[in-house]
Amino acid sequence: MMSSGSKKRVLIAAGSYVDAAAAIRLAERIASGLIAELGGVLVDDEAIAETTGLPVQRIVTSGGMLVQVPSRTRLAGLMQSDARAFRSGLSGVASACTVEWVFEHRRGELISGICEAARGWDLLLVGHRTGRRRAGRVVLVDNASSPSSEATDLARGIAERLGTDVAMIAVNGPTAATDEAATGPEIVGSERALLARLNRINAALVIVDLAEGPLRGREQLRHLIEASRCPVLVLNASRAEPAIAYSTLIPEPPKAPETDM
Amino acid sequence: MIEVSTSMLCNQHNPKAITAPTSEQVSETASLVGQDRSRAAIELSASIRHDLFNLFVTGPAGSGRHAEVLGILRAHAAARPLPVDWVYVNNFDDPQKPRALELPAGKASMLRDCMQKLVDDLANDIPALFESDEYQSQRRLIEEEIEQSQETAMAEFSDRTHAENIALLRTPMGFMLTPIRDGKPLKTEDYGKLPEQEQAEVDEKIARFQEQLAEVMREAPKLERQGRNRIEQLNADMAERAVSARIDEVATELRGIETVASYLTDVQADIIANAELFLKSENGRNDGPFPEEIRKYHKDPEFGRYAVNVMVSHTDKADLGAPVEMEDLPTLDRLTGRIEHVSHMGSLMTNFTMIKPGALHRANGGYLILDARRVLAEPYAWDALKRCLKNRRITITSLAERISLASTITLEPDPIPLSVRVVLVGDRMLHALLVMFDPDFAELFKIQADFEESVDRNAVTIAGMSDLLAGQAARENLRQLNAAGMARLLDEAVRTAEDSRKYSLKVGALTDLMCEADHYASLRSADAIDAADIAAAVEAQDRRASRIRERMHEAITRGTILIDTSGRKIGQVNGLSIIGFGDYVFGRPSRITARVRMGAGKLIDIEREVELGGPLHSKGVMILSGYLASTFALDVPFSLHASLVFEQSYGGVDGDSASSTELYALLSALSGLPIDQGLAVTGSVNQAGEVQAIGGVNQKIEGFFDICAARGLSGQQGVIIPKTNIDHLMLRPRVLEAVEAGKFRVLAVETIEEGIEALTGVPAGKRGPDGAFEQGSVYARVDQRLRGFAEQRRKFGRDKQASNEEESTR
Repeated sequence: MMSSGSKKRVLIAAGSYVDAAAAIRLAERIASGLIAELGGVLVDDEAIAETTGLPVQRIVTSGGMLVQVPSRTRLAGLMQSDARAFRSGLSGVASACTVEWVFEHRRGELISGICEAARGWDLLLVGHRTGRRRAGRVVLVDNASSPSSEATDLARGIAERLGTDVAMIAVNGPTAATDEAATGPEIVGSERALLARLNRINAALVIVDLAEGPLRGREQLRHLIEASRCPVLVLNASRAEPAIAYSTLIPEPPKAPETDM
Repeated sequence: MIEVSTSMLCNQHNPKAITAPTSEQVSETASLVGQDRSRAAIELSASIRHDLFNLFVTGPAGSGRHAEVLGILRAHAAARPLPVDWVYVNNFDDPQKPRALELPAGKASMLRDCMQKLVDDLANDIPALFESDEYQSQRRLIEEEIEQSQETAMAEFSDRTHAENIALLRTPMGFMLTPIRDGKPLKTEDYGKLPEQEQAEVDEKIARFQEQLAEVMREAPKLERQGRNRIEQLNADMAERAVSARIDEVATELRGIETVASYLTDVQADIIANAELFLKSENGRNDGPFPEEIRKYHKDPEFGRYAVNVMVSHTDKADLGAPVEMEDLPTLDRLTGRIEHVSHMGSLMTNFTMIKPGALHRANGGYLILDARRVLAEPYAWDALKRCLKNRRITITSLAERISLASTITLEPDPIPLSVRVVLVGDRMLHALLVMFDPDFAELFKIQADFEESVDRNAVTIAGMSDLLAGQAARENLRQLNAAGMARLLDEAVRTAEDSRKYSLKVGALTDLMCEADHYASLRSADAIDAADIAAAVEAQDRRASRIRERMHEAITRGTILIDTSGRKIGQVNGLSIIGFGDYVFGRPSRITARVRMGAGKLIDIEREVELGGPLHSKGVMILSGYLASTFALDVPFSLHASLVFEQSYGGVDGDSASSTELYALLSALSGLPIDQGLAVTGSVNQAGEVQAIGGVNQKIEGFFDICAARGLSGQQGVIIPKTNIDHLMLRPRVLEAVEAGKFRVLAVETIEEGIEALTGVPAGKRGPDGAFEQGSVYARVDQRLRGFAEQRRKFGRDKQASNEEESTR
């Protein structure tokens, strides 16, 4: 249970309103007692505009339809519309919780923009669209050697509000004993294995502390968001190490093929 | 002409010949006397098997119709089998059309209680089953399988795109795929610089992955649906186990009824399909002092769909036979039943539990007694009753629906088959109007039971009336009447019948008299009602109603209204009339005068000329005119101009009972013979000069007697009545005493000749062989006067003709 003393300043960040909406809905459910101030940032991802226009390129809608890719002008108009919707949704949550709120619409690389905007905020909630109707678990990504107590408390409190349970995944080595023996941490051997595991979990929210690890960089955060396919709550987001300049859900560059010779 | 003896003036009952029943002999259910015809009709209607032999009972109010009908119907009903029970249950396929279930007598309540218990039990059993580890683990397994399928599809797609250097970008409209070069999304301008073959490869990948992604997205809802279906099936399987086990416990005697078995099958299917109702009921409801396990879940609104609305139940009536119902207020709703509504969030809502039975439901299989006038006065009630009888089923339609006022949801319950015998109780006028103006009436009400208003007076009926009146006294918890009291009461029954040879069958009026007499008996602490008590009650009733009579009496005695009761006058006779105010009727004398002169055979009835005379009165005057014209001066033109009037009459006059009186006045005026003013006359006359019976003879005699008595009886005063009215005489004791003392006379005549002789003291006269009336007789004087008028008229005609000729020759 979160006390009023542990209220946080929370920034909701997304690259579109569809992504932001999932985070806003989540924020509505966990806001009471958790959020002291609310912020919103919509990052107009440059990568999208720069990569549109290929001959066969289409947009795949959430209903499985293929539609024409909008022009850059049309895309800009859509982003303006998304910004208005984001702002409206944010103000709705803020007024319901009677907290202050701010909103920013910026342009640039998504992850970098988000992390830069997160400076001064306690928590970063990165939105991600989700088509699932059944709410999944709260997944806490932790460092097995030095578990984040703050992230653990946060995960439990949010899971209680969402009426679900916490699944803990730790990277490398055994973790400290917990009082939830039945739902103890799942240990994975590498970051790749962590992402592969997340890729197959139905999660309502993934929580990660960039200060405690195992993920620390912006690039790792980008992979985490891509693999989770749900909103990601980031602690100490401003301390994420800068990485590559591009954004969005871009896979890691292929590594040299492994040989078993 | 005869002078009526006192024994004929009031044919009283001899108390010694009356055997008043003792308390032990009295039967509260004594049937009416002299109603054999109507009783046979009621018996036929009550026992005949065929439909539509419904009954219309006619007769005067207070004749004991209701009690008689009720008694006969109850006797028949006791011998008939108990009808079936009826309930309304939910129609799970169409809730707007509730189902009617027919059940053997006494089983409706059992089914209702059984369903309530079933709901209470399942509200405990089903949540327990769904909270069991067995159910929870099976459900979790299904959910995880579905989640895994969804995640796996997306994860595998993601893996494939990674493997072929394709990135998935999220745009405001959806997902977009783009190639990666050197770990970065390939910009559009860089794509253009690629060799054509490489561009083609990129295009092929993007097109292929776009299709795959679209397929994955399209599959997601299908997977969701599959998961939902599997969970629903699991829920149904679990619920089915609980419900089947519980329904198997329903009493065999109920499950053996075909309609109930079918209904229970529907209930089972519905509970399985709506098991969540029972799960919701479990959530946080225990706010009372009793354990949750014994909570009456069936009272919760959400379980109303499984309620049993008992319309008719015969559980507690096993020994009563078929029902006999009476409905005092036969409105449409109370007759055919109604559908009630409740206000919910500003809207009017209803369901099958709000269907309420009407009198037809309660009487189904038996008898229903209704007041005809009330049924006809209630909007749409008569129409609905006819429709139900004709269709042989009860269809519930609200008044609001009939007049298109209902703007909310309503129900169309299954009609319930109807087999009832309806008995309408009304008056003859209503029956006649219905026969004439309602074509359905004769078809639906084939039998009429017409109650007599009076019965012959003989030894058998004396005993019957005694039993009946004693029974009425017992029913009203009155003292019994002794022989004298019974004799006096029977005298009143005769007087009410206005015929000394009959008894009135207005039992209600006689019972009222007994009640009042019982009061007077109680004042003197008597054990039985005596003749004096009855007489006191009669006198008190008369006094209470006699204000108008006394004012008129006062006006006559003070000379405001001119009535002579002594002396002799030409062309003036005391007539007798009656005035009625509701049930109270009294007589009063009226001065009738006639004036004559030569004319052209015209008889002026002044009452008629000023439209104060009714048609019957005018008819009487025309008849007497015919008598005059056909009796006197037959060989000369009828050259009379006469006028007749009721003096000081300012209201309407109707009836022909004064026609003989008017004729006497005319004969007096024509003959010049004065009439004895101590006599008053009543009776109608025909063209042959015969005096005919009239109504209210007792009240008319008493009316004139009271005036004479107030002025002092001379011994010469009296009344002349038609001889045919002697049988109707039942005069009050004060008149009898005066007649016995020779102070008053009652004369009865058969013809006008007898009457005019009594009034003038001169023989009427008969025509001799020469065609002339006896010299000096009344009729000779009249004949001579009329001939004189004719001669005078002829002379007047000749003089006028001569005068005209003289003028023309000048």
